[in-house]
Amino acid sequence: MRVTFRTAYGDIEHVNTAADQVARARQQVESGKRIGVPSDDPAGMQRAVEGRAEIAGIDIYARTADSAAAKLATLDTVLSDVIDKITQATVTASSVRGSTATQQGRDAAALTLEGIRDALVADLNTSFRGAYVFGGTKSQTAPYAKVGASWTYQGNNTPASVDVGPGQTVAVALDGQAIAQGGDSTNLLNELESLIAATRAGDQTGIANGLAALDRAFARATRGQSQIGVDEQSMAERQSQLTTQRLAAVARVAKDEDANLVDAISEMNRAEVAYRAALGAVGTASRQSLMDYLQ
Amino acid sequence: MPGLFSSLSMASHALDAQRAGLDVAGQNIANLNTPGYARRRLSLAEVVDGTGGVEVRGTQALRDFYLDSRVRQALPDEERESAIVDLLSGVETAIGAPGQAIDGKLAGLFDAFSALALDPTSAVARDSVVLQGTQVAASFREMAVKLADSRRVADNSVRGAVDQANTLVRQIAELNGAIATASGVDVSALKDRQLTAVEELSRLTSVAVLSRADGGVDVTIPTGQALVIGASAYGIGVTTGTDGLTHLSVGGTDVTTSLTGGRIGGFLHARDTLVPDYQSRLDTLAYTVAQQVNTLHQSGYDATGAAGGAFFTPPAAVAGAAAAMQVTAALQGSSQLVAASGTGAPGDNTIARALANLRDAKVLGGGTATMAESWAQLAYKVGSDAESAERLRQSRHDVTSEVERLRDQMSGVSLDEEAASMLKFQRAYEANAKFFSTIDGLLDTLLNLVRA
Repeated sequence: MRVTFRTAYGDIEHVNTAADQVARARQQVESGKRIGVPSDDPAGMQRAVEGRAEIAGIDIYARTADSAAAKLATLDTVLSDVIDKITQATVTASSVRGSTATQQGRDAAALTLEGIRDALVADLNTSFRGAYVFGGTKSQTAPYAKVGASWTYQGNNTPASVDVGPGQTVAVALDGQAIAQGGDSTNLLNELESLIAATRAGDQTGIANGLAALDRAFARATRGQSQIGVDEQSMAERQSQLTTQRLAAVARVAKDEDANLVDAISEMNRAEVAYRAALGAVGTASRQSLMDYLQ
Repeated sequence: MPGLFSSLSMASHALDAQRAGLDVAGQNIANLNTPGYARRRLSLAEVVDGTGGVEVRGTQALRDFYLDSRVRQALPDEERESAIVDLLSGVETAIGAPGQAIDGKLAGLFDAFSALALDPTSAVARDSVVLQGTQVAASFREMAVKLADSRRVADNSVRGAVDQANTLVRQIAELNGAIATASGVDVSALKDRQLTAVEELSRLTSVAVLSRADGGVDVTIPTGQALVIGASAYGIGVTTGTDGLTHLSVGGTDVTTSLTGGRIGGFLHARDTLVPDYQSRLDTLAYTVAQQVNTLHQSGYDATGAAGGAFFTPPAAVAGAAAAMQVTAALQGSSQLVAASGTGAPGDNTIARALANLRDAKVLGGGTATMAESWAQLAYKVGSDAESAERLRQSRHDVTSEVERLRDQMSGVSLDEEAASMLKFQRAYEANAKFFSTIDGLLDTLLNLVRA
């Protein structure tokens, strides 16, 4: 084979190739990323984009689940207080049943019941970050207000829910009427008003009716709190699932996107050795010629 | 038997011949780096008049026309892919890293709708939805501009390459004229230039070359239209079409779709096939995003209880949807117009939830892909096209290099060979000079005898 001048020096192209490989390997080591542009690994790029979208979706669900858990905790606390207040009202009203109660005792009990009524109004009108949580989706109106002589529900019967997963929802604003009234003809607050009046008057039938209404309200509040407890438990499990899903998704994306630094550094070293070898080969070739031996 | 004067004449011619050999070696060395130069070989022959001397028959350029044509065939393939790689590198940069481009902005919008679903009466959440929507629209417009720029760059590159091609076409025609009228003068140097010009033209577009009896070449494009016939250059005509793009013609025939090889072919392929495909995919995505969001948004109620309007300015058609995408001016003016409620109740979040859930809805590709997946498919297509072009460029470069190496073995100059050649002719010159000196001495002796 004839080795021509161009052949001897044409190897500079291999030097360029080796230099390019060094630059690429160095870029991977410096950035820590395996994919700089889509052509580095088109299929990997596609998986990475889809993986990142999946992570973004998981993050949204996780944030929603966190917020829902906080709202559920608030609802749980409020319903606990409602149950306590109903229990107190039951105890107080029961204490003035029968003929032994004095007018003074009945008046004191009525005052206590008024305090309990006010506390229940406050509970049912609880808001979380400016939104009422017992008014259904009418979150900007206090659920219970006195209209004329009676307490009237101002909210609606549509609980507000949020999504914590594909097809998985949880209610974070409840239908207050379902708890305060249920199937009764009037709500708990009006029942309390009647009970207060019956207590003052020593109306045993009225007190008995009021106590029965309190029992039904207690049952509704307890059922409501149980549901909240189930939802809270479900949220805790969901948060745990989302954490696990996120870790798995991040690992998948990292596999496509991130450089294996051990491999990348090894590749960079290999490319640098190849580059030096290419430089050496061209340098050696350029030094050897018959011209050097002519006098 | 020749006399002494005849011997002296023979030695003189031999000295000329050896010096010519040294000249040829010098010419070869001088053109070590000259593109298209084929090494020359001195043709010597014994004179046939019985005097036994040597004569220079001329110099010969060592060429293999088969390998020359192989190079001309290989170059357009390599250069076509090289042009595609060059152009797609810009598109690839526009695609960006995962999560950093349109996919990231879409995730931000769905995130904002989700935050609004959590707190549908929050003014901050509403502002965030409008802001994220604005960013989604801006990222679509930016990508549309970048793709349009890429197409424009390809178009300008076509014009630039055609200018170069026409210069080369004129050069080849002029060289044809010079070769045809050389009348016996050595035209090897002109042919070297001719070959270089044809090869440079092959880098720009595929050509067919036909040798002429007068030493020139006729050049046509693969569909037969002539670029050069003898000393006449026809060139490639350039016009701007109604689409604002460059259209090419040869001899009055539109050849825009016929020029598929070389850099011109590569740029045309990128301009007319690859980038429009990306634009179409981007427009489809933008149109779907706008349509899906608008449909849900218009089914809801805003913070004032009024029926929701369009979220994005409704696109007139799929084509151009990305470039025209923007959040409506009304929404940009007041985030209270964001429709989160499905009933008008301020705490109702059904529309905000439905909008957030669009993230997972398979609304593209005939119900097979989400919006993020559609973007991923676009990124894959761009990456795949660029990778494929680079792989083809590399393999075709290997072919070109191999053919050029084979040709170089025939036509290239070897420094060692020329050094040996110099030595050979130098020694021959010295020997002939000695012979000349000896004959001269004999003549001197003879003349002295006559004088004595």
